Amino acid sequence: MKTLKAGIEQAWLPIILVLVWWIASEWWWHSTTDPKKVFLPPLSQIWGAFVTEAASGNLAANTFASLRNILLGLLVAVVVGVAVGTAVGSSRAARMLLNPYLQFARSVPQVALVPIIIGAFGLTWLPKIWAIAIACVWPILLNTVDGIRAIDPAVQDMTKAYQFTRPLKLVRVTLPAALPQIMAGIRVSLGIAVVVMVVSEIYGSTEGIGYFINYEKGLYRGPETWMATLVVGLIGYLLSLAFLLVEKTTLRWYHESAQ
Amino acid sequence: MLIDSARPATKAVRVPTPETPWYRTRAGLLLGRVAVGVFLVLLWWLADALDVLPDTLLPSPLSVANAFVTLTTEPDFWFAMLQTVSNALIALALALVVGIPIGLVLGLLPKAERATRFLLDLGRSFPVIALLPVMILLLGVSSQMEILVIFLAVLWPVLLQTIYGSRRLDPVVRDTARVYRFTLPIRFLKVLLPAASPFIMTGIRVAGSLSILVAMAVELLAWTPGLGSDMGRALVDERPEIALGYFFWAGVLGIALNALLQFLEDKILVWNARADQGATNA
Repeated sequence: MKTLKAGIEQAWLPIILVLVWWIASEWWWHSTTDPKKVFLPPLSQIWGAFVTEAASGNLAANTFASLRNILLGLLVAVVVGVAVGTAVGSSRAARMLLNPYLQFARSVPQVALVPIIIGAFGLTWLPKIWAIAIACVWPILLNTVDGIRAIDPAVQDMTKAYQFTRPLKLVRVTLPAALPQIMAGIRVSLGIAVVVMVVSEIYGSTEGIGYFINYEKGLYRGPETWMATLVVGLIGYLLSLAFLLVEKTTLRWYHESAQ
Repeated sequence: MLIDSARPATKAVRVPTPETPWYRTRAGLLLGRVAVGVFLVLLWWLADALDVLPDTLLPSPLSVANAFVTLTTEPDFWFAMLQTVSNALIALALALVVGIPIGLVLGLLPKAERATRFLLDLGRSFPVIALLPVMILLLGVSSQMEILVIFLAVLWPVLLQTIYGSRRLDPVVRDTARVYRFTLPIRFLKVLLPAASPFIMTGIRVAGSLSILVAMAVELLAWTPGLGSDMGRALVDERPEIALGYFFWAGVLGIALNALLQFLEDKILVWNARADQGATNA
């Protein structure tokens, strides 16, 4: 009963807005004579485009290509970011020496690298994965450094007193202790990955949902362009929801100990 | 400035040694950092000399440095930078004007916050750059279109941080303001806004970096005038060293904007830093 009430409290506005959008866009479409109205199609036509493209398998194939690029790029970024971040974070000297360079790398607008990478390596999917990985690695790396730096000195002393071996300390102490920070870094990177995916596919690609949007735009097909744009938004939303779930399960011990 | 801030917990325990390690002295650290920079450039130079990566991706460091400096002598470059910066800042200002009032109100009204939660989550995770094609269809390729796209991207960090800040208002403070019958404008400007401002400033800083990034992306993809389109043109002309020069200037721009916003934050929130210090000293 309580969850039902909470559901209604959160759902009523989105539902009303969709209904208003559906009716108002339909009404506007039939009352205006502006020739540019084809670029602002009613929601019913956008839905129609979705049904057609979903049935043809076109949408699924492009969505799959985009998801593959995001996940593989993110995977590379996590492996490199956590490995390098652990090495840098464990050494005070390395931290202090590299700090200005890491801060600069994070501040550079990474999407601007996309055309350089695609220009050099071509339109296939591998360069896009590199572009996503290069853009996503910095938040993960810097958060890993911060997470390891913030480990309680008493814990460090304890591992020394009990003479933990290096691998044991890394797997059992260092990485779990830094995990909440690392996960926060990955969450930031997930958003970056979706943006870089879209940019790389609009800039130069032969597949993917960003390519699909740009292709339909080139044909001046309003409903298809809008539909694919909304699908990208939905992908971004669902990915962040999925990651929230992953975060909750992997960090259960952390949240439980905080209570 | 450094990553390492003092750790009060260990300070008392650690016995000060007479010889501090080289990286803890000012000169040693500076020298070490320069050495790292030289090493990175050498690595780059070596990779270029051995042709590890194609020249279109990694031109020689010297040619990039040359392009980086030469750009500053060209009036067109400064004009492009002005366009990118002004588009980003106009969008940022619009996001503040729209995002802060809405955020303050949503933070105050739990019912409204719950009703808009789905929309906020959707908006936050929406890759706004994907709206570029429909925006081009609707508005054509123009700076106004670019500003609109940047605005739609930077609105979220400002809005969400304002909601967090506004929700955190101490109930005692809120009740006090009510008991003293502060008028609504005063309650907003003198009670709610200062209480939420540390959170809002964080949102503005995030939005600042994001605004340059989105501006570059729009300019690269839609060729609206600015640093991004000039960079794209250099790539089409097969001058990767000039493109990388633009890329590094965009990085400088991002850092400068971040530093400026940090400076403003420290100025505006002096009372906040003081309160923090008081808390840690106690």
